Amino acid sequence: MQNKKVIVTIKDSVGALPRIIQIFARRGFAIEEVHAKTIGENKEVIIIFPADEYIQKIVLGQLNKLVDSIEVKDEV
Amino acid sequence: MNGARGVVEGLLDEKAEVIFGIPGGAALPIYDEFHKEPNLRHIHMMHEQGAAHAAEGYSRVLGKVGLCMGTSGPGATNLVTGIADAFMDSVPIVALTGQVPTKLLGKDAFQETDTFGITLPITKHNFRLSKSEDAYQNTRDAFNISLSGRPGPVLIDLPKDTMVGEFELNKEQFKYTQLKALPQNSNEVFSKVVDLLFNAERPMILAGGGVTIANAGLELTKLAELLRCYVATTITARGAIPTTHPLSLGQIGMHGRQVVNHSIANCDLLLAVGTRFSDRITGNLEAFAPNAKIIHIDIDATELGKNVPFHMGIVSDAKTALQSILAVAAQKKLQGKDNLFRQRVKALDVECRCNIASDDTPIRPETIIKEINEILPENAIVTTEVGHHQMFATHFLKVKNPRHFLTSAGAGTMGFGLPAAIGAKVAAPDQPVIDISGDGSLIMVCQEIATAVENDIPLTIALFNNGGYGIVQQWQKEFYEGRKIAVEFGKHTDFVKLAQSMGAEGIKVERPSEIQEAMKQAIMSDKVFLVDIATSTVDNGMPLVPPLGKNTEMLLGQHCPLVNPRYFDAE
Ligand SMILES: Cc1ncc(C[n+]2csc(CCOP(=O)(O)OP(=O)(O)O)c2C)c(N)n1
Repeated sequence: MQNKKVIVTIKDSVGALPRIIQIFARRGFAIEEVHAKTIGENKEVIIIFPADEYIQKIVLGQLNKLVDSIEVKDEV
Repeated sequence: MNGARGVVEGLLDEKAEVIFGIPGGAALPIYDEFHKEPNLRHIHMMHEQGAAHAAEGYSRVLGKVGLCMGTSGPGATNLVTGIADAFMDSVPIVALTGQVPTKLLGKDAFQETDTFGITLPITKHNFRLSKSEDAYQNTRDAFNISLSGRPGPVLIDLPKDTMVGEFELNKEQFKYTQLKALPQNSNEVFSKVVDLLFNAERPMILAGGGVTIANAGLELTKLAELLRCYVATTITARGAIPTTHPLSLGQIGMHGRQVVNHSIANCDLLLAVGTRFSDRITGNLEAFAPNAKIIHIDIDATELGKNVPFHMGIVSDAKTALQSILAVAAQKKLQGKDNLFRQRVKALDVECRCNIASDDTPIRPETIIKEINEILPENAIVTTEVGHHQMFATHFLKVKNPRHFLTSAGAGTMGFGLPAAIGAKVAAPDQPVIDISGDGSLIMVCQEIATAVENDIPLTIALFNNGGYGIVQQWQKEFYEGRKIAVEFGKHTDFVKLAQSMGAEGIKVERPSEIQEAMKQAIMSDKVFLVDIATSTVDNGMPLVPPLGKNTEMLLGQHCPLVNPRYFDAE
């Protein structure tokens, strides 16, 4: 599987990172790299993960579904 | 005011009227505010799991947020099963949990549990209050999040210091935190749906819990009538179309009716509304509606294509979508026609209606449902536990209205029915409430009989007492060569005495002819009343599709003869 990269902007509150990570953990999806930095009231989180089309679709959908996520950008 | 008052102000401004819960050290600041608040009725449950299920029962009846509360540590972990249950069935509840003071977090303080972490994957959203100032805002946001879009449970963890800490509340400045909006669908989208629906030779509708949640039962029924299309339902859509309606076919899937599973397998178009196509619905995916174009409508975009590929996927709540489809169809003056497929479904439906009357003792579970149907008041709300009794109720109980059949579907939580019945009765005090129960399930939550009695919440428990875990026994028989383990018990448990010991009434029933009288007596008594019915263990009560087997290859039983789907083969 090819590595995919996604950039999530999420409100920086208690548990912002675990919310993102548990999407992967629960489904047994792997993560290659995570980078996070605080920008004002938000966190910008870059995740690199091996994915086929289905995994990518699920991950993007779930990230968008998070109540606190503000933007989900998907880069190949 | 202090943080605890901030939470309660939030609850009151959200028009909350009832909360189910149990106090404890970390929860006391809030409880003290409940004490001062006559407009918020606190119902003291006997176990926090019961509190969460009662909140669910309340919510499932009214479509409003149900509220529950527990203290930190074990109080919170006891709530977890009910929260997970609400998550699986998209039930809007808000759970409040006490927590140790912020500075003790991570110190393994007395009754400290990472409630936030534990509930992260089983809530739609959760909060841990970090300062008293957020108490009001987070509480109101919790309600808004819980109800919006696809509903679900929201938890607020309340460290004790944030509850006693003082802050100034300025309600004028209050605004909900903005949530993501649902996409709008164009009329062309629904126009295309209408074309597909009316051009199909063999259309079927599959309605899921989303139809119930969106209060779209009427629209569903109208569309079925307009199309002359049969409707299969998942367990959470029971009553969305009256089960007595000629176009209502009933349950699909693992415990589905034969006619439903064969019709779906043979349809050329499937309109699926508000269902997530769980494994219990589809069985083996390759054999699920193999010849159908699937139009999948769901309010949650992540459901589309998750389990089943679609021809058209539409993100919408069920009511808006069905209304739009109806509007387009009315404009085009379309009307579905009777044809061979419909006649065949109808014939199979008739063949599939087995005789459930019998004089057998112990009494067959389907016979109990038949007798209950005879006396069930039109406005009665029925809850169930989990097991054979639940499946028989799903097959045979007449449910004429949505939100009148409450059952733990996605989680299959034994012990749901009794506390949910308590919540339902609080929500609808003028309607009779009946818990269809199994002995295995009831004994898991029997302490809530005391809750009902103490709080004067009349309800009837119809106990299908078969001396064990009927449905598990069936699986051991079918899939483990009958090696029974841990499925028989209770020879020495007298459920009538158990009920009586808590101040409820009870009678035993041994013959089918006694059921109606006993149930009438229980319902009319306006008390907490248990009817202990000597029930037979069935080999195979209803069709059973082995896990991940094909829906058309069902195991049948002595009382469930094979119907012949030859009608379809001819095509
Ligand atoms: C909390 C919980 N534990 C275990 C199970 C697994 N399970 C499913 S049905 C069942 C037995 C149910 O027995 P009973 O309530 O007596 O119903 P019956 O099948 O006999 O009608 C069990 C143990 C479950 N669904 N929920």
